[in-house]
Amino acid sequence: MLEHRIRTSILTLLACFLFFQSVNVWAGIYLDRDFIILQKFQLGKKVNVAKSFPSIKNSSKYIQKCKVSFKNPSQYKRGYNGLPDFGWIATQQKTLVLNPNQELKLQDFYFFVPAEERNYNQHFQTLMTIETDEHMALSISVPIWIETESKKPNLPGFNGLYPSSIEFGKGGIKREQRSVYVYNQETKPVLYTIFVFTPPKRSGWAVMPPSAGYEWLGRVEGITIEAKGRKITDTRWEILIKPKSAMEIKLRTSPDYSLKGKEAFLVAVAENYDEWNFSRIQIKP
Amino acid sequence: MRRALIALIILHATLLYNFCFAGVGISVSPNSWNAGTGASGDYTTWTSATLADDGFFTVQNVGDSNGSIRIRATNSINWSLGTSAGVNTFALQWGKTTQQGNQPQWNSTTLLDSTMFTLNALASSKFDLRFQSPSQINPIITNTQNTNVTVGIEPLAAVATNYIFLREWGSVGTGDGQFSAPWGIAIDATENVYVVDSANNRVQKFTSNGTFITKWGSLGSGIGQFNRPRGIAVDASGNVYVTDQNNNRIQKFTSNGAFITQWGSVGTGDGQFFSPWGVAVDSSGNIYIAEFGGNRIQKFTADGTFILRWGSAGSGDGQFAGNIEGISSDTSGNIYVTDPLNSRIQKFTSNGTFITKWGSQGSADGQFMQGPRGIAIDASNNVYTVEANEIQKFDSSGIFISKWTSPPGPEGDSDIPTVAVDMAGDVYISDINGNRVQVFTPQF
Repeated sequence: MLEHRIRTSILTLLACFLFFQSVNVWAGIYLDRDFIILQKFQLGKKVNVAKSFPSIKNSSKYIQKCKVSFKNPSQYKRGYNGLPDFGWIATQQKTLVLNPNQELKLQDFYFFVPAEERNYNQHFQTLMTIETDEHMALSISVPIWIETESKKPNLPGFNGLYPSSIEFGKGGIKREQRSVYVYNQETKPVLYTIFVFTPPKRSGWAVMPPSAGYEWLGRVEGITIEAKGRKITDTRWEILIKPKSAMEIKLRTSPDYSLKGKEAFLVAVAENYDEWNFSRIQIKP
Repeated sequence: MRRALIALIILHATLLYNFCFAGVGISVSPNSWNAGTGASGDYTTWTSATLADDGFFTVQNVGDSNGSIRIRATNSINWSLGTSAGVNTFALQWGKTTQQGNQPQWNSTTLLDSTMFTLNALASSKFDLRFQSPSQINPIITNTQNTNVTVGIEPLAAVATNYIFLREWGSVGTGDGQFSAPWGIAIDATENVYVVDSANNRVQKFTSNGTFITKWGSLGSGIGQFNRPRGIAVDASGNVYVTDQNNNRIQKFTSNGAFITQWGSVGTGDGQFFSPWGVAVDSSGNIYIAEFGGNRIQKFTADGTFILRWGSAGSGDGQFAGNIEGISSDTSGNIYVTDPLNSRIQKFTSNGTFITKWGSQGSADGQFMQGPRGIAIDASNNVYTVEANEIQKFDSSGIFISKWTSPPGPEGDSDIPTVAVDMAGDVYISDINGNRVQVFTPQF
């Protein structure tokens, strides 16, 4: 009986030993968010964006060294372009050393976008990758969306919408109106289709993230467009813009309480291009 | 003051809640390995010393959302990747197994240094990697090779499995917004919806909620006329391509229906057609035509210049059993073709190299009773196929995701020849029986 117990104990200890041996060989890293969005990003200032970045957890039982890198993805979300200059990521912290089970929040991570005319009203997309330094290396890549602050365009070459976000302070309580401008800096007239687009409501990683404090409207009712052109519906117009000029379009919200805290896109697409220019329509919570 | 504080707390909670971040993580076991030794020309299987994993390494998605996993091997120190005999070259095979102790299914491609697959949240998968040195001159394989493996993850968008009916439009007739056998559907960058009104020999253009915008076409063989048009596709510039079945040609129009060009005649030569049916445009603007009577796919430039073709009659990989209706392109330029009489979908590269296939005859999930007809790909490369009154959704490798049916109309069950998906993920189908377009929206 005693011999049986001893044998059982030895086998149990051996099983535990083997179990923990196998557990020990797991290597893992974890980020607490699956995308990063920087909105109304101020130009001409070195901004510490670390608070918008995920914390990184080493779920291994040994020290892991990670490097942080950036590259543009092979495909962009509609309305976004690749980051034109990686020199804008002016960070101090490109290598991280994580102790076993340590969770680390980035402290100093600086972005700098030069205050040049062409960088206002822009939507950039890039990819951040955290990669461990092992023979069996692990990497996690998450998208970063950077939407720069809005400024009235004043240069040849800007095509699209200004401002890049339109806020309705009392939308949902009373009818409100805002002006948006579609710019055509080409030397020929350009036909634009403008329409309201509402991305689907999603859980988890969003195909297009709404702004903090908002959720996607989920329907186009409640917002209407008025312009000088061909009206297709209340939320869709075709407008012909003369060379080197801009056209004012009017956006209106109806007094519908359910609009509060909702967001949608106003999209402008030039004829013969599938590139989206968009502004965020926000009805304050 | 208290009210303001409560409001601030609620606002703060709302701000946090609305961003809906999910965690993303990856783990692998074991974390080091030994490729072993082998003779010239042999594949050498990784033999891990970790008994619990039987020589395989396990990859786990430890995040909250589905992930796209990429495993890449690099032997940057001594060798380069290649299959032909040569100094310092090596080849790889990737294998995936679902069970410990089972030999993995080795892929047949050795020229790729990486493999990609989708791994759902909290799921894990087992892999092995084999090396081959076609020419072991210097260094010989018995020397230690420092080959690194990188296991990477990118979060994927949430995949909808549940769809509900959203709206429909259309009735039988010849007026604006009416149809006689609505067939192909295409959606452009501004979410306009183009519907081939086949028996009325015209194309109608609508907003995404069914408001009529314009129309063009009539019966005939002249420019801008049709004789049973079937398929339709829109390129990145908004140009519209229509297959004109009985005229055995393709016609290209502007987004408002102005004729641009045409090509094709009846026959089996390059650039000729025998009932052109499905049409797809890839991200580079190339045009792919599926022939109902031809068992082949032809690829053209945007102005109709012939590039290449593939396909023949049969049931082997890259063959078709006739009546091909559906063709579509994903964001990577891969081409998906319905093969209804073989009850399957085939996936090819943009040059017609066979990649994979799925489906068989039956009524179970992922099977086809009558044969798949139309096909569409969404922005996340999920695949939608239609037959009878049913829509099925798969991932890009053919894994079944969900299915649903179209509600019957006054004329009875729907008969769905084609499907399209817009930017918001809404699914559009045409219904020949009900002479209508129906829209289904995903629920998350």
